[in-house]
Amino acid sequence: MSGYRWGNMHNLREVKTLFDLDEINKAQEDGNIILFKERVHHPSMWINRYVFRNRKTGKYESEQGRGYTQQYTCDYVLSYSYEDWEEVLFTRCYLRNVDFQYGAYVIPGDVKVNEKLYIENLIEDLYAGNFWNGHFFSEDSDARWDGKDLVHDERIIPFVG
Amino acid sequence: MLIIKDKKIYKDDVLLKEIHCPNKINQSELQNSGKDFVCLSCNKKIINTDFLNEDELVRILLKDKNTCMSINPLNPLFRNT
Repeated sequence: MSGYRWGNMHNLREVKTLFDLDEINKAQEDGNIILFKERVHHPSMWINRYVFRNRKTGKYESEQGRGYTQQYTCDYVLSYSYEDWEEVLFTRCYLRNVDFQYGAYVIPGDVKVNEKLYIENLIEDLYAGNFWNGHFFSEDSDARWDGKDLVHDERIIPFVG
Repeated sequence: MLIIKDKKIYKDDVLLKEIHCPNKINQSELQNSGKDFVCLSCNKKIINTDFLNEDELVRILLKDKNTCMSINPLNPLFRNT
């Protein structure tokens, strides 16, 4: 359960991310385009979380489920059997925990329509995909300026070739 | 750890493979075939690297660098730079 950084692989011009209004106003005065964005929870970024208690020892442990699918073999491995572990709590946790609800992107004032830019620090919650039992969100993104908004690249598709 | 740079796969600075498809196939154009895939465009087998460890993958590519494969960029076996 973690963030994934793609990097500026195409050497694109960078979009800065700001949260402080004084800095945002200054960036606007300097001729940049300001684009405010809010964080909206992504439905794929809610992850199951259980707390189990060992029936013999009383020890508590927390995991995404009673078992997992093992890489390579595809076997389901039961780590917390009903016989040995009782379920104490089930909840849903959100993958990305940050201390802001909104922010602003600072886009170069001379940006051209359809120009691709690189956002180093994403405001929005963008699901990157999963690998076996792990889920990831994007920390950065390439995005196309459509004249009004930044349209993020879809990047969860694997490379084929 | 295998390094992916400019769609090329390296191991210790040795170029193993260039990720390139002349037909520009994406995942939706592949048919499942056990753990791997079959390309619906050219009928070639596409190896799903999710099921390979590093040694297996390097061995396959040293034998044939034109082997077609599907690579999940979130696989910790790879690092995009």
